Amino acid sequence: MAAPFIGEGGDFVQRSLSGFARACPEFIEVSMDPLFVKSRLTSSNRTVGLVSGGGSGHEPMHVGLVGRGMLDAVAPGHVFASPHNRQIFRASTAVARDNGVLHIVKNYTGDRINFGIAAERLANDGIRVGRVLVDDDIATDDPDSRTGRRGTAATIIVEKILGAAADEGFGLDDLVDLGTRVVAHARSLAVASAAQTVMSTGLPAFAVPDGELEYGVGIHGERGRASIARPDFPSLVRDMTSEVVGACPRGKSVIVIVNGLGATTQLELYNVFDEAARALESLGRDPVGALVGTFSPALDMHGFSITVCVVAEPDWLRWWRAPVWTPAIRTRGAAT
Amino acid sequence: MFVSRYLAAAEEMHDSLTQWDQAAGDGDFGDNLCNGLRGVAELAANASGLPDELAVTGEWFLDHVGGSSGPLLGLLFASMAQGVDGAGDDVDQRLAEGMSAGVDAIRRIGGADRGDRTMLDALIPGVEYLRRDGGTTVDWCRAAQAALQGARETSRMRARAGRASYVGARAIGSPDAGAMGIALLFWALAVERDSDSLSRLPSPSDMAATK
Repeated sequence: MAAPFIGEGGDFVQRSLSGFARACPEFIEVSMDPLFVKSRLTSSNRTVGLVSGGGSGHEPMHVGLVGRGMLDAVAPGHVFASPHNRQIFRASTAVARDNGVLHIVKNYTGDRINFGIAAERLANDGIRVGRVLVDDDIATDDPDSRTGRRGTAATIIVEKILGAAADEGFGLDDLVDLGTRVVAHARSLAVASAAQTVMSTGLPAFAVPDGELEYGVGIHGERGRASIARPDFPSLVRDMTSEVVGACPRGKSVIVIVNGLGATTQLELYNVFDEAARALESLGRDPVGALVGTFSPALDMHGFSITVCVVAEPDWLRWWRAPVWTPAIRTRGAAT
Repeated sequence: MFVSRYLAAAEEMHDSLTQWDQAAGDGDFGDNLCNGLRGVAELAANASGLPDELAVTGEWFLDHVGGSSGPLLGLLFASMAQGVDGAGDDVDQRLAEGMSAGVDAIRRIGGADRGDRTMLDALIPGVEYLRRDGGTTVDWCRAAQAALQGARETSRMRARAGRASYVGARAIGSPDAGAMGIALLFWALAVERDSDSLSRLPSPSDMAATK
C-alpha cells in the first residue's frame, strides 16, 4: 500500500475541487469559502433547486453529478465527514428557486443534522425547504436502531429521477413525494475484499484475510456486517442480488446499479453485472435500466455494491433515461 | 458572563468529556465545546446583555463549531436568544421558553429522543423542570440538578441515535459526553441566574468525578 498522491499545502479536498473547477468550467463553478459546487447549466423550467452533499471520498457522487438534468449544487465535507451546515446553507441560497430548495440527503447522523440545521436557517430566511432522505443499505437494517439504514448508491437513481422531474417544473411537495416513493423502492448491498487506504497514513483501514470477504460494508470505510469465507463468484453475486431483491417491493421492471467501491476495475464490474442480470431474470425481474461503474466509492476500497430500484411508475424509467449532462454522467438514454 | 462561566466549567471537565466521547465516538466533543466557547468569548464579553450574548454565541456555534453537537448547541443558543428577546416580563420564563423551543428543534433535526443516549437526556429533564408548573417559578438550581441526573443516567444507556449508535453496547459505563456538556450548560445558567446555585450545586470537577 502506498501513500496517496496529494498536492502540497492546504486541504486536499479543496485542492481537488480547485482542479475540478479548472477541468470542468463548462459545467460547474466552485465556491471555496464556504466550499460548495454550483451548476452553470440548469433548466429554466425548474422551480426548485436540487441540493445534495455529504462526505468526500465518494466521487463522482455528488460533485460529479452537478449539471443539467441532475443537481444544482453540492456541499462536500471532508473525507467521510458531513459538510458543515454553513456550506449547505450557502449552496442552497445560491440555487433556490421560487418554489424553494430540495435537499437530497443520505441517511447518516452528521448529514441529517447539518442538512437539518441548514434547513432551519433557510426557513428562518423565508426559503422553502424539502428533504428526501435516502436509506437503501440493507446491511444496516436493524429494527433496534433509530439510526436506520445507511444511504448509499441508490442516491444516484434518486438524483437522476428527481432531476428530470424538476426539469418538468415539479413543485417542492411533488418532488419530496416522488423522491420518497423512489427511495422506498430501492435497496443496496455491498461487499469488499480489501479496505480503503487511510489518506493520512497510506495504510489499509483494516485487514481482510485471504479467502475472506467483508459482507455488508458501508461507503465510509466501515467494516462489513460480517466477515465471510469467500464464496465462488456466481454464488456471491446471486446471493447478494437475491438478498437485495428480497428487500425490494414487488415489480418486474428494475433499474440496477453495479457500483465500484474505488479499486474495482470496469472488467470486474461488468462481470458482476452480467451475473447479477442473470440472477435478476431468474428471480422474475427485468433490468430495464442499468448503470455500471464507479459512482459511489469508499475512496479505494476493493469491492462493489448492487442496487436495485423497482420501477413502480412508468415515468420513473422515462426520467431515468431523460437527457443528462454532468461531469460524471452524460446523456446515455437518448439511444434507447 | 454566561459564556465565560460555561467556558470555565467546560475547561474544568475537558479531559473527562474527551475520555467519555472516545469511548463512544471520535473524542472531539471536549475540544469542540472548549474551542467554540473560547472562540466566542471576546464577542460575548462585549455583548450588550444576555440576549445579545446568547445570539452571538448561537451564531458562532452554528457557523464555526464542528461535529454534530456544535451546531446543535448553536441552535439551542439561538433559540434561547429568541426566547429572551420575546414578549413577557420575566427573563427566566422567557429563557425557559426559548430553551424549550431549542429542544424541539434539536429533536426534529437529530431524530433522537430521550433514552437514546444523546444530549437530549440532560436537556429534556432540565427544561421540563424549568417549566414544571407552567414556568411560573423558574428554579435554575433544581433544573441543573435534574439535567445532571439525566446526564448521569446515560452511563447505563445503549446509544440508539448519533454516531455512538454504531458502537452499540461498547460505550455503556461512561456517560454521554454531549449530555454532560448540557449538564454544564445548566450549571453555568444556574450560577448566572441564581447566585445561590454556586454553593448548592457540585462543581464541574465533582460532577465529572462521581457517577
